[in-house]
Amino acid sequence: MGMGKRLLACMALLLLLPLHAYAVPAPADVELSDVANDEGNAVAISWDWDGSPTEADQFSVELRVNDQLLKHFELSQQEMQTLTDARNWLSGEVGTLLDQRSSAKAEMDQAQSDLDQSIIDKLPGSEVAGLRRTYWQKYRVFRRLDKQIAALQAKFAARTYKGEDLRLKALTWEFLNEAMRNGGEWISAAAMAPMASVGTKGARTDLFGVNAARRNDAGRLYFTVDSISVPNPGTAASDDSSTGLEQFASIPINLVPDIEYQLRMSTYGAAESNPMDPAAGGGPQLAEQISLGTVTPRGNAFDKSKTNNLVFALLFSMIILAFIILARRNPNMFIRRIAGLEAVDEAIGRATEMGKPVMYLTGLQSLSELSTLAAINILGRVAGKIADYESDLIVPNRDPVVQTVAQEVVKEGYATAGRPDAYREDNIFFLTDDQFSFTAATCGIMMRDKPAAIFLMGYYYAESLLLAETGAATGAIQIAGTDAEHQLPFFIVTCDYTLIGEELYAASAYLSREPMLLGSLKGQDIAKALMMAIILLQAILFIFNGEWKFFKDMVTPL
Amino acid sequence: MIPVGEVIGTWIAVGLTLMMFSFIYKDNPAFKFGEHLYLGISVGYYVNIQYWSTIYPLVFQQMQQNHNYWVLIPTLLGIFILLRIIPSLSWLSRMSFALYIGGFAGYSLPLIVHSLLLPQLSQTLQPYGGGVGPVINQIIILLAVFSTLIYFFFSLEHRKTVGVISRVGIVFIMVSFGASFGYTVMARISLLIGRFQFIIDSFRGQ
Amino acid sequence: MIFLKRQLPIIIAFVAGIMMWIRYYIPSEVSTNLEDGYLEWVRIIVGFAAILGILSLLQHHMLKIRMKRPGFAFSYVTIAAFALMMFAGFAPFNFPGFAEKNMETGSLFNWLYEFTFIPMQATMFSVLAFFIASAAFRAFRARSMEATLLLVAAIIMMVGRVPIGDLISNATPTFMMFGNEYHFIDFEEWTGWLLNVPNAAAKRGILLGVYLSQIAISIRIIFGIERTYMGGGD
Repeated sequence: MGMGKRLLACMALLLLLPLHAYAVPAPADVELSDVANDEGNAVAISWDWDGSPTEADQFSVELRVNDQLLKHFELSQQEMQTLTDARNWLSGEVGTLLDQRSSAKAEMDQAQSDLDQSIIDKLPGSEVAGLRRTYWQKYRVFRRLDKQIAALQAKFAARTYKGEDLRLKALTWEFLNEAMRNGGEWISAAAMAPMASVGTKGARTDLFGVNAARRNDAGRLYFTVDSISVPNPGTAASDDSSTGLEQFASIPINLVPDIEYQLRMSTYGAAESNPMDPAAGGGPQLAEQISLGTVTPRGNAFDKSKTNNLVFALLFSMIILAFIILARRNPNMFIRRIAGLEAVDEAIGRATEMGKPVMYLTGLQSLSELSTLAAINILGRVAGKIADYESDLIVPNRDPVVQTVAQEVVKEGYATAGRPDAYREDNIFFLTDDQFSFTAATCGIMMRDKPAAIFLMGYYYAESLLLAETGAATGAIQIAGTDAEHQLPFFIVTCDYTLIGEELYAASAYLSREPMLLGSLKGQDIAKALMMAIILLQAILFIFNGEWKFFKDMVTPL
Repeated sequence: MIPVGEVIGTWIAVGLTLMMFSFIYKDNPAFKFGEHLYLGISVGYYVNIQYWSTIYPLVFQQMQQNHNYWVLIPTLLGIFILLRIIPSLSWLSRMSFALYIGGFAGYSLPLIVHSLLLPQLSQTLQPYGGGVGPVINQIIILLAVFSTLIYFFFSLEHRKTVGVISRVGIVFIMVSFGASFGYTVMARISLLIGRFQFIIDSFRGQ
Repeated sequence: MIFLKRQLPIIIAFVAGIMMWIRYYIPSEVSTNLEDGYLEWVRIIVGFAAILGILSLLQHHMLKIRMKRPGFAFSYVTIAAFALMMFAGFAPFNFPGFAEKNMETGSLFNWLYEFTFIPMQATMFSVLAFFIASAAFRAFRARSMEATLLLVAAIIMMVGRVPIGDLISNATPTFMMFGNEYHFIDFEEWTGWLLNVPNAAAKRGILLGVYLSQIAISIRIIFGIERTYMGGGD
């Protein structure tokens, strides 16, 4: 083959190979919009894709800004002064310390390698011990210096943080200014990502009750852009070798509301590796750059994706409040029998007969957990009965806040029963915050004091079994009540009576027969009926080929 | 070479492990000692954690370094809780409890709807399709959810039809508990094996 | 005075509750700051309650010692361990032989945590396995129809999760249904079905009721109907 032919073949190969691989379907019908459920620092891009994108097809988004954004990051004279002062102060304070630290580090490292060597060389124990002492001394010197520097740097950070990080702000301004000076450079907003990974608009029912599939845009790709990446240019001003501060490598800065951004999309196809030049080939290659237009992110006062949440929360609250109000007019509401609560009197009575105390646990959660509050409510009622029966009541607690409230509630229970003198504050005590130490100590009390009745109310974790089994082994009557679904089976097996889930919450209404609590319970029943109606309706709609998905969309949280 | 502290520590740890294990046999002085030691250590740990990870950084450091004096409000409310000890001033703690519990009620209400209630409801709304088996399962699920919910109706007397349905509900609840129970039993056994491994390894000096 | 003692707390609970509820729907920095700030405040408030915990612990054990109640000698152990932990955590110097002070890695406090707290915690957790065995034994003495159902489901789950379950399943003959081949006894299939169908569905029924109760109790707190937590008295 002649020289010319060989050259021609090479050129043909070079031309054909990469170009063929770059072909990427172009986005069509691009729409830019504000994202309806954010603070105004994101914009959305949606587009149709001609054909389905392959794994290898990638895209990235860049944006261009005007000087509005530059102004946003501009430091005022005063801020600039603060930053400069703080930097000067820090380099003055820290300068010598930095040197000392690096020499201390060198000494420490040397001491460590000496120590290691002595161990390898099997030197006598006393010599190794001496070297170890030296190492610890050096280590302490280094740690002390390191801490001093860290403390100074923390002071610097506190000085330069005025609602936002001034150092970061200055850096961002510098970067944006640089980009603008160079004729409005494009700034990376979203790193290269495979197109196939982008979600479709159909997967995001952003509007309450509106099914995107019905709007015929289920196949539209949907992407949000919320930050620009600011790399550290590493110029003199941001060089912090004199302060020893950590340097930013690259920081994402959120988009700023009410400022216009110009957007561009770049698409990349994968080039096959070039057999003629293996070093250059392979990987994504730029195929096309498409201008998308301009868009302005806006802050929103209401997160539209939470509409269904608001509707359901309000609906259920209204129903419950309405029935509480109704119950005031008609206080004699019916409540079904709850077996576990019928046994309360029996359990306390037995304790009195045997002359043994009653133990009551309010669970292992804090007071902010609603099941703890339910347990506290029941405790108030049970305490009254115990006072009537003249038994002792022991309440160990895991949370001091719960303990104080439990004391108040029991005291009041005793007072209402007309026996305030029988109340013993010391019997309602704090044990410990640790789950298993609490369990061990409570089991210890069970084994030694042998309470005749044990109440396990509130929220429990794995220790439920230890508590209930120890209680069962001492022969106590046990009444449990929890909404911790994983622990319920253990209580069912080991306790005499168990309040399952909602029964725990219903218990205070059951024991007190207070009209407002009964009304609330009735309201819950109506809300349950409403949920059952929704489930039934969607089943019927599905059978008759109706728009059953409407309900699913309605109750699916975003 | 293993540091001395670690050797002593490991022996103490093994001793304490055996003391706590003796609880399985019956209540005995060794367990009592371990239990009381554990109690003291854990309360000390808890107080240190509260101080070094909450009070120190969020109150003292905030005031000293950031000159943020807003933290005095929660500090005052925290002191109000302590006033429960003094009966004539104990009413002040109501302010703290009102903010703590009232705020948490409002905080958790939309979260319960979002991450607990709606997902459970949404998962129940599935299409009835995909062959005979899945449809039967779907109907069983519907039946189970309905009957369980009926069981928890408190304002209806459980007699006649309601009584029958709630009996079905309790059947489903019990089968469900049985399944959870069996599942957990197997998982817990492996924990025990891990603890024995620790003792055996320590004796072999590993 | 009555206003301060009775109405003001209810007003505080209402305002705090409504504010925290509404902020959930507002996507702004103010709302995020409100959430973070509130959670931080609560941490501080609750943090101070630790002092109440210390007082209660000391009072309880001192009383035990003074009254010479049975086992009072062990109260010395608790008080000593507590004092040691407090001393180790708060002393402003390094203890001899330890490189750090307070709670840092390499301090006496950390050493105590690692070699006493952690092993005892792990042991109590593993003791669970013994208790689960006795609980399982209790379950075997099924007394009612409900308990029997629970027992049967539990046995299927337990057998299905050990190798012997597979052996039994594979030994049984097969039959065809809906175009699929099934074993007469198939523990793997059964355990999967138990977990995904009746178990998931019944749990859903229980949980939906629980969540509604939680919404109800939250509403009662916000509107001042539920106020047991504030304590009684005047």
